[in-house]
Amino acid sequence: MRESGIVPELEVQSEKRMWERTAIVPLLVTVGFLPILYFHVMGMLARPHYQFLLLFPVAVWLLLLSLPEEPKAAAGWWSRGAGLLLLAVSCAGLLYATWVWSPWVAAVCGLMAFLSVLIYQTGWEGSSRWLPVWIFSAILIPLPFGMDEDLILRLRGMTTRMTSQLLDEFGVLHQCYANVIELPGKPLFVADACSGIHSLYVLLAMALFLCVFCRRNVVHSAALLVSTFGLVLVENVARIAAVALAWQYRTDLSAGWKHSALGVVLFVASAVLILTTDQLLLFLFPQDPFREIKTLLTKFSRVNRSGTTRKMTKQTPGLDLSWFCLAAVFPLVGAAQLFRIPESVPNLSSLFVTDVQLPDLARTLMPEEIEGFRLGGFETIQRVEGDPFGRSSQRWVYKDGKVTIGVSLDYPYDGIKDMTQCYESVGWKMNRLAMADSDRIVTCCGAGADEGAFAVVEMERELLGHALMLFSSFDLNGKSSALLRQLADGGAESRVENRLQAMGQPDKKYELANPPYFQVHLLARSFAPLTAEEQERVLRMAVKARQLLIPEVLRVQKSSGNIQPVAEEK
Amino acid sequence: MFRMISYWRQKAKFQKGTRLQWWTIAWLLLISPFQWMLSAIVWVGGLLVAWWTSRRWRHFLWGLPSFAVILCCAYFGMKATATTDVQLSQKYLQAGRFANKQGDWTRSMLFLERAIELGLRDPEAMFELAVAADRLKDEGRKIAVLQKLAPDTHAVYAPAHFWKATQILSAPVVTKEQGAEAEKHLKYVLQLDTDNVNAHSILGDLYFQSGLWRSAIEHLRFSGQKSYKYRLMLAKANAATGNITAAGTYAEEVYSGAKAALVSEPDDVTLRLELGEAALLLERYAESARILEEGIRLQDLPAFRQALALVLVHWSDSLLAESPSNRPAAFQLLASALEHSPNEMLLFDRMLDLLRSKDETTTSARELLHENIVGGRAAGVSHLILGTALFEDDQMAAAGAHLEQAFKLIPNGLIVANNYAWYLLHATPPEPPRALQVIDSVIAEDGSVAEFHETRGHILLALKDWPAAITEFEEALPRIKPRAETHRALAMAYDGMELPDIAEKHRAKAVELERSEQLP
Repeated sequence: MRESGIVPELEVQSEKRMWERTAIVPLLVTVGFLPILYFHVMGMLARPHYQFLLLFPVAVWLLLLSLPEEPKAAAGWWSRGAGLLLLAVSCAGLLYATWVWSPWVAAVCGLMAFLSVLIYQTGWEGSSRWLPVWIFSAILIPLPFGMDEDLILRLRGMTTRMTSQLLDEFGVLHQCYANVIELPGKPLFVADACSGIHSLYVLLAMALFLCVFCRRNVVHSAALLVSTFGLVLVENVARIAAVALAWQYRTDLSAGWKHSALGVVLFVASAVLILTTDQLLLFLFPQDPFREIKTLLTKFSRVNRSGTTRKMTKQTPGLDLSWFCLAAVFPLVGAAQLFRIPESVPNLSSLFVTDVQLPDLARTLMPEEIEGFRLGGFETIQRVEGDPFGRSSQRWVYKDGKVTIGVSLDYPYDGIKDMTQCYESVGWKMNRLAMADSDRIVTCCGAGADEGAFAVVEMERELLGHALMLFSSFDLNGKSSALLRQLADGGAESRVENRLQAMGQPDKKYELANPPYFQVHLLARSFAPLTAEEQERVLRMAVKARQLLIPEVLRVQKSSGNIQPVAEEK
Repeated sequence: MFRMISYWRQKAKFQKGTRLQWWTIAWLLLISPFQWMLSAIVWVGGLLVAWWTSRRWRHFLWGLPSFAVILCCAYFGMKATATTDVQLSQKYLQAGRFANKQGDWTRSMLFLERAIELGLRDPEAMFELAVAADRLKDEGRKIAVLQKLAPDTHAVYAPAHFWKATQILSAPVVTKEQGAEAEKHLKYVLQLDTDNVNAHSILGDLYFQSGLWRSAIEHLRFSGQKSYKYRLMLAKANAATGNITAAGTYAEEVYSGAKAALVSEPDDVTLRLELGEAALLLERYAESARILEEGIRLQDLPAFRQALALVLVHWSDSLLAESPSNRPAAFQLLASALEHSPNEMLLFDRMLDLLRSKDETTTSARELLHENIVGGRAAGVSHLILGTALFEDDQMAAAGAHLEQAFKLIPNGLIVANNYAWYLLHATPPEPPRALQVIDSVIAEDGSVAEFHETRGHILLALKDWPAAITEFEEALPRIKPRAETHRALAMAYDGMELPDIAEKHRAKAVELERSEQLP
């Protein structure tokens, strides 16, 4: 077969057009995607669990080195037609993404455009040569509709439950809430860093790289990816269990360099386990189960190539013209994106968030009495990095009768924080969620009050009674806002529904985070639900507390140089 | 006929043929599963053979770590599945109780909470959790658990209700509402556990403090014979209802019991005080004084001195009740009491009574007080008594000098400060701001005495601070002896507040009280 096809292949090679040999079309298409993909990549890099993408170019380079030799055949009519169709679809998608400003849709279209260029210019066989690179590029597309965030929460819950069961088996007595393992005198919050969401994505990417680099078959690859998910769970359960077991011997592995070292050791162990799992899968699936089908396909492809390809390449001038014209549309769409760019453009420096340090604001910062609540105490709390309640907190405790209120300033956060998730994770049940918007604040506290919204949540916990929680975030520009994810867009399902309902409408809320954020957070606890009058008092207290705290934090940050003059002018 | 025979023959053939077909189908049905199974076995076998011929042990060796991890996960997974929540909760309950016994409240609370969250619905465990929360000062959790175990509306768990009642009563000042709440919870305890001696005792104590003698007796009679405190209350309540015989019996019971117990434990302060009180109730004054003096010799405690002063006052009262000629002896006893506890309000009253009577004893008392001042013994108290007596005689200048001196000598003496403030209010010219300053220091020291609030009310009235004056009077009113003067002051304050209706009612009340005071 191979010998019989040599002469026609050489002929086809010589007949390739100028634009086929050069990278004009890929360049034009790339230009069309550049502005919006910049937002996509920066948005991903802003989240710690996607920062491993900085290694993406290295991985692609390694994959390119491993590519087999370029086949000598050119694309056929069918492949060119399919490529053109795919490019048209991706162009339409890019237009839509530009209109609604959806970098995620643009990224999906980008991947599609990459495939279309491969198919059109190199044919089926040539594109299968590039397939590993294309498959690996899929890691640039995160799960849509906030499913990755939901996965974080589920993974946390799973990790906590499994760790709890393991500790019970080891005889380490503890208390277990949704995301907290509490040992006597040591609560361990299963934070993002501990829940494995960081290592999940990087290890999945690693497993995928291994599969495409070593050209593993589909069954093997799927099994390895599923195993990687399990290994990540094992890694994180092992991490928390190790911290808990060490605590039994008065060794604290939950913070500092010991915690980091433990994390590195376990990550390396997980990476090694992926490699060994790959070997185990090679033992279990030594042959490709689909090899017969593949052989058949290869035969068909070769017959097709030797029989008809050369002929078809000569007969596609209309397709080529359409191809070139369509590619020329992309730079125009790229130019249109420049007119739709959101106000806040991310830059590389925004990836390196300044570490926020705040000196003790002192008990006297808050008045002795607010709304009839008497100040009882002041404390500062330090937690581990990534703790959802903030790495640091400064808290003033007020009391009036049976209602105790903790006014807390928590920091730093990467984005506007929804505190309901934190409280749910420690066992509180949310009874009612509401947003005290500017109108309500003005009605409650009078004109002149800071009108940034406050999230208001009524909660209950069986052995702790009832509570009313209010919270609001603010950035270093003093801009305050609050987020109740469940109220804003619910779970993944309702997010899909909302997104589909808003199909075709530009995303007016598109805004990138401006870290670091601070959180003003009040928790009023009582054994019975707070009355409407008490709730009004607590809201007035929250507004007053925020009015006192924001200027003080900004003053301190200004004096420490964390607020740039430009930001201040804004 | 032939036709019929042919028909039946054909039918018979057909039936034969059909049977054969049925047999064939049945045979095939019987055989085919085995054939399919055989095919499957051959296919699987082929796969296994293909796998066996192409597998490489080298890969398995490299994959051993993963294999070990999978085995470990499977082992722990199966073990965790086999452990039920009931087993786990029992384990945590035991650990929580053990920690409770050790006084390790953090562990106790953590383990008990886990046990409860694992589904254990044991009120005893929940109660232990509340106790642990209390020890850790986790008020929110304590209240939340107690709301379940001891709600205000119905009886649930006796120990929790009892604990809640005792918590309420342990406050420094128990208001009427708090007392009623405690009473309700104690009644819930008795509803659930009718023989609860402690609940009976405390409920009896509560009624005793409120002056409800019969109710007090009803519950205090259940108190243990060794609970001398409650038995003494029972004796007093009986005495208050006029049942002197029963009072004597109970007091005698305490006396003999405590006396026997004191022999083995002479340093037991409470026991000695109770013995002294029992002797006092039995009017064995000398015996009571001896017991307490012995206590002072062993450990010089203010409690013994106060008790001794009271015994001496009562002894003095009994002497005066026997015959007015006993006044000198009574005075000697009061003088002795003055040495032991100069701040005793009752003693102060009795000394004033002696000074008011204007006879030889009065002269002796005055001389004693003067000697005290000269000799430097209880000079402050002596100044106070003399100053107060002179104030009552309208000798304001001399009274002022004595009271000022008393205040200088005993700046922390509450009665001294109160009387001095009162004098400043009535001095010429009056000094209400300074009086307010003095009385504020008194109330800051001890705000529980109603009389001090009344004094403050009068001072605020002089300063025309009507709302504050009303607050002070109304705080004092339920706890002081009804006096026309207080109601007149309140009427004046309400007039100042322009609330004539209430002012008029207070004025009417004052008139009514004045009339009753004038009655023989």
